[in-house]
Order: sequence, then C-alpha cells, then structure tokens
Amino acid sequence: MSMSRIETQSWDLAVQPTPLHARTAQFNRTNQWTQELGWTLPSVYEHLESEHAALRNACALSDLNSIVTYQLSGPDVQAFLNRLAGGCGGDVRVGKCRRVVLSDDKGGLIADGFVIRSDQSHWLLTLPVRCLDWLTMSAHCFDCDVLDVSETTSTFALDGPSSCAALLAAGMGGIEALRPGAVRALNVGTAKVTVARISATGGLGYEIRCDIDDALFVFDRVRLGAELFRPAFAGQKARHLAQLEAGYPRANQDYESALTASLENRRSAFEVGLGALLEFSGVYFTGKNALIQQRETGAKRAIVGIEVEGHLKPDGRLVSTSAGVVGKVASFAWSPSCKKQIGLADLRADILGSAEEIGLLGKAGQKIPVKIASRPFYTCPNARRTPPEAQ
Amino acid sequence: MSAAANSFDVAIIGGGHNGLVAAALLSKAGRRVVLCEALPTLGGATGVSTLMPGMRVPQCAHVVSGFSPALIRKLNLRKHGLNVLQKNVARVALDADGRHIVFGSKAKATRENIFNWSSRDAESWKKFSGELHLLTSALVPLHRGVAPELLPATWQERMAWARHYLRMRRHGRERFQNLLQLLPSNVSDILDDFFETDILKGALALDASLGSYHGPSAPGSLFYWAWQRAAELVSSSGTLQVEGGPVALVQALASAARANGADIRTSSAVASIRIEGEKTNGLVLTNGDEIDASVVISTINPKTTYLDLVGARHLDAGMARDIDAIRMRASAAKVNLALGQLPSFAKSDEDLLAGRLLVAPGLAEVERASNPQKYGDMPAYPVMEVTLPSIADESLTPEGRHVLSAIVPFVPLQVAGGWEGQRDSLIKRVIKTLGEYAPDLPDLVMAAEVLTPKDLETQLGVAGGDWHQGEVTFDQAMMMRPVPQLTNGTGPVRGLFLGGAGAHPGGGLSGRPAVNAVAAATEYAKRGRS
Repeated sequence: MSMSRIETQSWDLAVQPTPLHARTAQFNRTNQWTQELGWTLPSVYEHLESEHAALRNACALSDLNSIVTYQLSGPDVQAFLNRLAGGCGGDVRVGKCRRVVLSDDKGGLIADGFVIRSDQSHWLLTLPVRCLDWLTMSAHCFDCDVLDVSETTSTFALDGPSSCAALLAAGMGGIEALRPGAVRALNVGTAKVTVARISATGGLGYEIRCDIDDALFVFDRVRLGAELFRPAFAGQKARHLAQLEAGYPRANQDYESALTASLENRRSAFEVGLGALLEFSGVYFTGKNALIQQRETGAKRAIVGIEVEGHLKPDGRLVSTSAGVVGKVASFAWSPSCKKQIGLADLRADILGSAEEIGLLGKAGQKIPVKIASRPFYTCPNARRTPPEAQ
Repeated sequence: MSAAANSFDVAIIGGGHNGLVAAALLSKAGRRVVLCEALPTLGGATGVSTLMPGMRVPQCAHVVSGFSPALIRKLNLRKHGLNVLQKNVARVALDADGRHIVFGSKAKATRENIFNWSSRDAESWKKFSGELHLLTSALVPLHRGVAPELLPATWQERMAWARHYLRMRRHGRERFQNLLQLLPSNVSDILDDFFETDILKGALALDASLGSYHGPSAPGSLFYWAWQRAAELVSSSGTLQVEGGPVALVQALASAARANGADIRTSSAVASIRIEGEKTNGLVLTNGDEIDASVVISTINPKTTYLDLVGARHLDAGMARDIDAIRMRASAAKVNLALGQLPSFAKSDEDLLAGRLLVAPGLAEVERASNPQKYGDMPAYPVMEVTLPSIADESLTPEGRHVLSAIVPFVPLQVAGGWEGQRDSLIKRVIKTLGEYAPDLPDLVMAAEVLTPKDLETQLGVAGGDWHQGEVTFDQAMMMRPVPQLTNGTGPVRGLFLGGAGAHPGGGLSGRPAVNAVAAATEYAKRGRS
C-alpha cells in the first residue's frame, strides 16, 4: 500500500514523484511529464483531445497532488482565516468548502484557493502556491497552528458529467446528495477519505483526499469500481484547458503570486476578477485598506477573457490597439467545447471601457481582431445541480 | 458611572510627559479629554524616589533634555509650578586628578581645558565641533514637525524633501559628501581621527552612547549621537534642570491639563482599544469601564499599542510582523546615592559639579563596558553619567546633604543568574568607580538604591527597559519610526494616533511626539466634521 513512499525514498530526485506515481506512470502512454511545485505530473496520458472530451462528456481521473494543502487547528482558526482571506475565509460551515483569495498588505493577490471544513475541528486550506511563511506570519498573535500536510496527503480528482455516478459505483454511497461546494468524510475500506464537490474544470467534479499510505488503494478502488463508466486519465494539459474554459485564472500563469511577483506584475483580486470573494462589510483582513482604496481609485490592470473568431492563429502574445501595446495574453487555446480560440489577457484597465479595437498579430503580420468575452466561456449544465444527473 | 461621564472627545493612553502634553494641549483647545495611566502615579520615568527621610532624588531621568520653551510658554507651565533652575546644563569630562574638561556654551573655555591635556587636541576641537555641528544641524530641522514622507505624494511633501536636501547641500559639495560619510559612521572612528586624549574621547563616547544599546564602535552610533544632540539643540534652552526634578515638569503639565478640565485617571490600565469598521471609538479599561472617544492618542510604546491593545486581527499581516520586529532593548540602569556631604572631587566647585559629569576614563573603557551586556552580564568597570541634582535644587535635601544620581549604561534587562543579589554588586561597582574620583565618596554614602532595566519595566511600565520605546537607529528613525506604515499619524485604524517616544522624533523629555499627535488628531477631527 505504501509502495509509492518506498519508491520515493529510493530515488534521489529533486522533483518528487507523487503518491500516485505508480499509477500515473503505468497509464502515461506518451511518457510526457511536467513539473508543478516540485511534483512530477503527467502532461498528456494519451491524447489531449480525448482527455478533454472525457472531462466534458464522461469522467476522468487526475492527479492533484501539486495542490498545496495546509491543515489549520486551534481555537482561533476562524478569526485567522477571516483576517487571512478576504474577511470571510473563516465563515465556513461544517461540511462546506469556500473559495477564498489571499491578499498581501498592499492588496496584491497571493493566491486563490479553498477552505475545506469536513468536521468541527478539521480545517484545510488548499492553494496553488506554497506560502507557509506567509501563513505562519499571519498566524502571529492568533492561537492557530498551520501545518503543511502536502507531503502526507494525497489528492486526486474525478471530473466530468458521469463522475457522481462513477463514485457511487465505486462504493461512495451518499455522494449524490453533496451540493456544489460541499464536503463529506467517508470510509473507503479502512481508509479515511474526504470528498469535496469542487472542480476547477467548471463542470461536475470531486476532489478526493486521503492519507498517502492509502493513496493507491483509494485510487484503485475508484478506478476499478467505476470501470463501467470507463474513467479516462486527464493530464495537466487537458485540465488546464478545461480550467481556461471555465474562466478560472491559474496562479503563476494568468497572474503571478504577489509573494514572488515583481512590483509591476502584482495584481489585486479585483484586477484578476475575484473581487466577489472579498467581504468588505465584515472584519478587517490583510489588504483591506489597500483594496478599499483601489476600489475607490479604480484598478490599473484587468485580467479579462478574450475570444478570437475564425481560424487565424495568433503569433505572439502582445495585445495592441492602434496606439500601441496594451497588454499580453497569458493563456490561450483552441477550445473544443466553445469551438473557438479563447484566452485570458492581462490588459490596461482603461482599454475596457473604451471603444478601442484590440487585436493580436498573426503569422503573416496581419492584425487579428480580438473580442473581450465574459467568463466562463463554457458552462456545464449539471455543475450546479443536486443530485447531478448521470450521463 | 453614568454614560455621559465616560464620553469624551479624546482619550489618551499613558500618563508620561508625552501623554500629559497631549492632554494639556487638547484640553486647552477646548476638547473633552480623558487620560488613562496604568500606574498609581503619573510621570512614568520621571518619578522621584525618597532614599531616606528628607533625601529625595529623581528616580530615573535626572535632567529635562530638549523640552520646548515654546511649550512651557504656551501651556503657561510656570504658573503651574515649573521652576527652571538652570538652562543648558553643561557636560563635564571628570578627571580623577582635576584636569576636568567642561563642554559648555563657551567653546574657548573648553579648548583651554583640552589644552591642559594636549595642544593637538585643542586645535582639533574646533574642526571636530564643526563636523559634529554639520551633522547635528542637518538633523535639527527633522525634529521639528512631522518627518518627511517616505513616498512623497503631494507637492508640499516633495518640497519638504527639497528643503532638507538644499539645507544640507548649501555648504557645497565637499561638506555634503562629508555629511553623507559621517551619517552611517561610528563614534569611535571619528574620535580616534581627531583626538589623542583618552579622557576626552571617553567622555564624548559615553555621551554618545547614553541610552543606546550599542557601544561607540558600533556602526551607526554616530547617527544616534547626532540625533540625540539635535533633539537637545532644537530647543533653544537645551538641557534644563527644573526644581524638584523632572517630576516637577510632569506635575506642572498635569496641573495645566486639569485646570482646563482634562480628566486624568491613574490606576486605570487600558485593556483594549475599541475598534469598529477600521475606526476607533474608545477604550476598554481592565476594570471593565468603557470610554467613548472618537480619537485615541497612545503614548505607550507602539508594539504594545498595536499588538496588545488593538490586536493583530485589525492589522495587515505584514504590518503586524513589522510592528513585532520593532527593536526595544534595555539600555541603562540607574543608581541613586544619598550622601552626607558634597564629595570632594579634585579641583571642583559647585558650578562644575552642577553639570552632567561624564565618568569614563577612555574610549576603550566605554567600549569594554558595552560588551558584557550582549552576553547578559554587567560591566565590571561601569562608565556612567552622574549628576548631583541637590546642588542646584536645594529642595531635594536638607542643608549640607546631597544626592547623587548616576545613569549606568550597558546594563542588560536580564542578568545572568537573575537580579536577586546582583543589585548590590552593581551599587558596589558604581561606588568603587566613583571612589577613584572622589576618595571620600564611599564613606559618605548614607543610602543607595538601584533601578535595573527590569525594574524600569515592571515598576515604571517601560517595556523592555528601553526609555526610547524603540531603539533609535537609522532604520527606526524619522519616517521609519516606529515602522514606515505608522508614521505621521497614518495607520490602519482611523482615529488612533501614536504620541509617545516610539513615534517621530523619539525619546528624551521633549514632548514633540505628543505635539505631532495632537496636530494629526486635530486635523482628523476637523476632517471628520466637514
């Protein structure tokens, strides 16, 4: 059961294999790998399009161990989270998750993540960047312990319209009653598992967490138990594509974490489009004064969704108007779900309200017109339905 | 108590001289003011202790340095009982054989004193004074009013920087360069550069290190010296000695504040500052009383104010860390002696002994005395600044008797093995050292007391035993005092202002931080009404 750990220890690698490496390596037929926060993750298992199709039309398993998981404990957790994350990070009922944003003193966005509360005393904070130092510093004067449990927890996801049915088939009874953003602790065999109905793909999906000793066991139980639903494996490329379609900005791709970004690259939650996750009427939180000021004076940059009609493929990332460069594209891809090219661009905020036409440059130097589009680009009908319909 | 009785315009935390200056100024301006002091007496470090019946001595601070004469006039403190006995109290480098050097207002006399030791040093004195003056006079304007903004946003703020720059630059390129070289330098290098006389260097080095954690050869020690000198020079009458000791100043201030209707409460410790929507609306006392006030001025140290009374949950995480990192370090102990008669220092008269006597035989001795505290020990051969307050102030002692007050720098907060039983050894070392200057002094001692940095913390509420409420170093001065986010009346909690020594321009008995806080608070109240 703890094979992965043994293997990890015997290999002297700077980039670690995840607890699920035995399976990801077994099914990674292209042998294409990528690294995220020091973990080895499959880039493409078989074919990007088929993996994306599985995410959108069936169900697909993916290794989520690159998500950093912090465990919080102590009497002040709630106050600590409220101060840390937008004034409302601690207002999470038992059995619920909450999407949160972390800002620094100047209002710069550090990361967006989830607070997951599976029972009275069990709080998890999952983030796409490592920031233990920031959390420890924020915990000063609070009776709250922060523990990085990324190395001892294993996380994988089952996403797609049939994922609920697949989990039911794998023996996770009662999963169909989970509402979006709900979390439940279960036992799978002897393993303790928490299942949260959150997904970065914008559709139906579940994140499944357990101890690393149980990682392969639980993964196999789901994989084999749901065999009738033929769960595919989705690599990082397919996941990122699905996340782009869902319009969720990715940390250190669409925006750079304020802890590591240079001054001019820091973006606030407003600029990234996550201002709705801030609660200004409640208690004080880190960055509140700076963000109130920004709300009054207006943001300087904006991360917006863009669409390119037609089949002309842009060459390069700079977005320009007739007057000059106004920003750059961070993520860009052909979206199989929307049947057009979509992306997220970091633009000067004054462009948004103006009638200026923006565009990207094509291969032949021609200008390709770009339209600012509302996010999400793609919505899945059963993402918010309870119980989700099996397909 | 009825609700109306606890409703005020301004609440002030801390009944030291800064708190009282703020209370007196604001009540004079017609505001309803309450001041809360945790201890049963006002005055903090300015108290008087009675060594034995009839023999009183300033318990801690023994002179009033840099208190603005304008403030004395404005608050009419003379009417309230303040009696200035001497202005511009001179410093004296004490010598066992009587070749004392007096650093007074007469430069020629100083040069003659130095000439007794070395003709070369007498010649250098003028140049040295010039350099030091250059440095000090560059810092003097920074003591007036608020500190220049770190990031000037408005035209006026930019002009303030320009004025400071031009003031330093007007003497020409060479002097400007000289100034920039001196600013981060250390005391011992510059003294070695100019002088060869040990006693001269020792006295100046001691003067430069009083109240500082660091010895004279620490980098940046020259800034500390220049900053303290500037604090003294910014007031036209320099260091004062007032009748009854510094506590008389505090009593006069309290009387002036009370005369204008300020409610001054002792033994009322503040438990927390009430905050609603990033705005303060009063205080909660430890006895459960609540005080309503839309403006709060805290004259206690910034760390306690923000981390304990406000609480980290009302601060940005980075700011809370920065505030927690403010360095407050113990710097000195105080030894007070009751003497049967005036000790016979060689070739001395009362005029000489009324000054601040610097007991330090040489630069190396000062440096050596500064070392043990880093490792939790007391200096074996302490250096010290001594005053005999009873010479100018006859009210302190009966006829013929005297009190001696010695500030002993470089004594740690926690001494290895605990303070129990080591207090006497500190007194013994002080008496032994002074005995080398006045051989009859050990026999004249009738009573003695010591106030360790720990006592300063526990008895007088001086956190960390640091009377500056935060070390005065370049990174904690001016627009970075106490931290850049809290300078000049700014801060995350609207209506809360820092007016203690921990705020710009810092320690000493100048009252200037309180004046700044009052200005900021008045401006805030005005904006709130419009």
